[in-house]
Amino acid sequence: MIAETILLKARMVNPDSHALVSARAAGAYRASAKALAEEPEEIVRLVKDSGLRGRGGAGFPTGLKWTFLPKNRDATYLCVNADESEPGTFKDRLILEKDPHLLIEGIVIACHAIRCAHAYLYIRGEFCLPYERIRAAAAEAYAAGLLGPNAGGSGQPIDLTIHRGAGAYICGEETALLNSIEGKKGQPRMKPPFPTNVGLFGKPTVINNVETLANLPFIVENGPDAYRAIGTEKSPGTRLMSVSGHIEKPGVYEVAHGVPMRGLIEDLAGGVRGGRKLKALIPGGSSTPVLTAEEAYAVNVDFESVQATGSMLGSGGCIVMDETTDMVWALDKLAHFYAHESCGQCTPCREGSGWIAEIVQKIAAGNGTRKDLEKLESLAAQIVGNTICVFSDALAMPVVSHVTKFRAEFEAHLADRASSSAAP
Amino acid sequence: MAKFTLNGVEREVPDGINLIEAALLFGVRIPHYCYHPGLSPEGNCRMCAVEIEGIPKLQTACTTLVADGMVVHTESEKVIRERTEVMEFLLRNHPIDCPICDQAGECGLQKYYMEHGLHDSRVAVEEKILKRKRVDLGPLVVLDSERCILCSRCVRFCDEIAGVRELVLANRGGRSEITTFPGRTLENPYSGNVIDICPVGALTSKDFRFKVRVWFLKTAGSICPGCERGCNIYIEQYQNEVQRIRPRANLDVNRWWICDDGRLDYKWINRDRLLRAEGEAGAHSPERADEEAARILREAGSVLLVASPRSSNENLFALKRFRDAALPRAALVGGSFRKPWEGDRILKRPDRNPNRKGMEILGLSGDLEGALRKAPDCVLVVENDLLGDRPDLADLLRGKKLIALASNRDATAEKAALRIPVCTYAETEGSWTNFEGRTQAFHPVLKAVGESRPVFRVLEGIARALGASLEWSDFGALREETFQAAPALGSLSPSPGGGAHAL
Amino acid sequence: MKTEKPRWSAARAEEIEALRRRYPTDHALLLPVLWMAQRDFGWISHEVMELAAETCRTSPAHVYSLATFYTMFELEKPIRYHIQVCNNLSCSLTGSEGILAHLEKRLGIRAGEATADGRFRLTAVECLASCGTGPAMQVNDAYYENLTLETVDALLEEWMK
Repeated sequence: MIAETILLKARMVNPDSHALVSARAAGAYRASAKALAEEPEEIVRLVKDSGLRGRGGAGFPTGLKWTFLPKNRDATYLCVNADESEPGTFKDRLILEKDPHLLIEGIVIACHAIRCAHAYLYIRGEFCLPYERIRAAAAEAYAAGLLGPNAGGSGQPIDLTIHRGAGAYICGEETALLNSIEGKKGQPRMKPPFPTNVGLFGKPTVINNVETLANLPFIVENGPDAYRAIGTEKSPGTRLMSVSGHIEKPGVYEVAHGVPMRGLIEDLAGGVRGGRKLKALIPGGSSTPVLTAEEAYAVNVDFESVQATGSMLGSGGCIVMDETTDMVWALDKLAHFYAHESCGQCTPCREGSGWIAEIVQKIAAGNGTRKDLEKLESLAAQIVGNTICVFSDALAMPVVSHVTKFRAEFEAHLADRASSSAAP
Repeated sequence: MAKFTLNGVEREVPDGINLIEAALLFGVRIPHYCYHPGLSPEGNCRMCAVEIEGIPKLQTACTTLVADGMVVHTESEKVIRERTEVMEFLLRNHPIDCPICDQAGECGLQKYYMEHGLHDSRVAVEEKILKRKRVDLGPLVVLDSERCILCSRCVRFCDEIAGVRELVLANRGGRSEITTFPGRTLENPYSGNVIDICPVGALTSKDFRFKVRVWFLKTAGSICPGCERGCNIYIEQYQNEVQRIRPRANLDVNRWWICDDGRLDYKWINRDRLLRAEGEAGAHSPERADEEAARILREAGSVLLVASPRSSNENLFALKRFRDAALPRAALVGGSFRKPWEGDRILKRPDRNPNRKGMEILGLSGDLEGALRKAPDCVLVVENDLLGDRPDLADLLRGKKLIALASNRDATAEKAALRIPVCTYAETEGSWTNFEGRTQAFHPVLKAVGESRPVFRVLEGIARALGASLEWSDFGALREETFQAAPALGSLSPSPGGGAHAL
Repeated sequence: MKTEKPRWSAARAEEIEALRRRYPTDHALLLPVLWMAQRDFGWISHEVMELAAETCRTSPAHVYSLATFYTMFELEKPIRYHIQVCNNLSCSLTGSEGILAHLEKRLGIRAGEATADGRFRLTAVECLASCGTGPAMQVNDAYYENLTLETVDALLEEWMK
């Protein structure tokens, strides 16, 4: 039986956990006070040594990213990525709603570490309560002098501006997020240059996910070794796993990296709903390849274990599907999503996303032919490798994994299946 | 300088250029749509993707600057396959409009499909996304959204060159469309350039719509006569009528652009032409007209020869020699009453004549109005619509003999006692010197219309009828003499082209 | 009847100037300004776009490109209740298709349409990050989660009054 390892969720059980008075009573802003008294480089070292990896999806080592900032720079920006839009993911929202001061404290620490005087928090336009809560928390923090011209009494300014998105999944992509803040369309930029060199308004910029920043207070207060004591060597710390779909107890569970996926699903989340059998599981948000039940229950909740299966831990958005699920129908939902969200900038993705969605819909409706299925597979291969960002890869993952691992279902949907040569 | 390897051969190129330009220096053409040397690069069409050793993903050549030691492959299997795939994606929603599309024959999709596609279509016509067609984008431009490949060249042009963000890409994903703000059309005075830079038939010329297939056009390199800038142009004709004007790249003068006024400044070449000489007694043959002119000039007490800043340097020089040889006591003054327009910081110059500077260098500028007020008995006007520009001057010339050497039936020609047709710049060789002192040649694209002759040939004829000796074996001889006599004209300026602008 | 050009209230104009100081460029104000406009004027009409363009020192065409790129701006007419039902995978696994179909029937419109009187617009949207509490929908500035046909009916009763 596995249990949650509570780090980030610690204060969320408290009444009015979002309010400053409650958060402070439970220890908020102790770590940031400590950090502000240290040299910025020391904080960078701490975070690097902790092995903290980004929680937005890519899993890039946070401290390492910070070191990419050029030594001699005239300005630095921090962008907080609160655009949480990856299907299956709802954990950043939890932090914003239940413990926004944990995030703000993380922002203060990060700003100090990277010498940033102004942070922009990009929050998806749809979020209502999370937006209200983070706004209120920021106002409280300003009033208490934790943010502002003399942040935490450090003598240095740390400003936080909350910037609302307006409905575009692609704005969760780092450089699209920057463009969106700048008043352009949320279309990704070519890389290089990378944001740490040329970012927001042309200045060196770090973009960090909400959950990533929420880990900083613990690391500063307890040190990298304490952090490394949790989780695995390559994936230290805890993970907020969003579990949803055909599950008894959907919700956000905080587990130490490395716990078995089976434990998360059956011990913590109550198992597949109605006692049914697991059929498929998406481990890290819709942009990660789907796992069969067998694969899912052989894997641990950490970056390397999931990667070994060919999938990714991604954003930790775990979608559970039981034996009643039509996998073609499921892919139809996802293909529609990607076609809707393609920014349209570059040719393969703009044309390919719509084309793929159309074919999947055709097959799901029972009107597809063998040629359509072949076309689908070839297009999914064609769309990757020559685009400005990895949205096309994200779109190809579900297509390829669904068709490959559940081929029989796709074949069964074909209108000309009677004439197909492949035996079911 | 940077040393890099291109398709197996080591090359040296100047620093800071992108791979498309670098490859072009060695005759290697990397196909592209969204890249244009005059605009910021975007790398969105993906057609120019090439293989660079050490980088697993293909890189867009337009956004990659050459670096020392770079090893580039533009024709590897991976690159070629990628091009075919991009072509397939571009053509997926493209309407099958070729039979009715003006772009046919100079279309980027046609061109690259033949070179890099040649795949069978996997799309049924009914599956293609429908968008707006025949959208009025202003006095010069028609938009067909279905044909658009969303390269955004037009958006970048309006933003970066014309300085107004009038064109944008609206919507998202496969529903993206080029548009102006709803209810508005393009207002910038350079809007026509989007027609040239659009690689496909999405943005086409209203003026040229359905006129003629481009492969029937004959083209000549020429210079715009609209103002003192001297933008380089292509002038194109079919059945001896000018069909359209396009900019010709010249990095030193107009780069890749012309203004909308210049683009449309050709209809007068085709219309209201003076086809044969006419006097008070009726039409004349060229020889008879020359004799008639000589008679009027001989009988006149005082003669004023009026030169024009619209005339070529060679014709102006010929007029000088004509005066010296045939009418040594005649006054000779050049000038123009053409109202200047507002210049701008892009291309337009206030003086709406192409050769004010040349006329100055040849010593012909002067007080034209003053000369007219002296009320000479006879005024011979060469390529100058005095009375059209200043109708009030008709009073000054009442009762005087007016001889007009004109291409069109303008106000001056109509009032003239004798009018002799001459060729426009589209029908003869010549050169103009722009406001910077840059002397540029234009070349004929039409055969002489009607019985018009080059100005210098008419002057030769009149001189002969006056008993004077004035003759050039050919235009080349006239040009040589002109430039020798006026070294300040410099030498003919070449047109340094604009890099990878083939598409 | 000539409609008046939309103008910011004095308080709103002050708020915008305070916000302008938080960004190094005027264009960065575009999204915040469009949200303020939607709140103040009920929808983003062409006139509102022109006002936003003026405020952010850019062209109306630029504003138009943003207003159509993002999905959350109302571009057709003022809408009283914008019902946005999540149609993505997790919500679908827990019954959102049924919720959407029920709403289409009750409102008499298809997803993507609005009622003639502008009281309701019904849209099928993508993931709202409510996967664990699905089926979910967003209506104006609130989320409604763990939906059942009954809870939907109860809400409609309120909104149809």
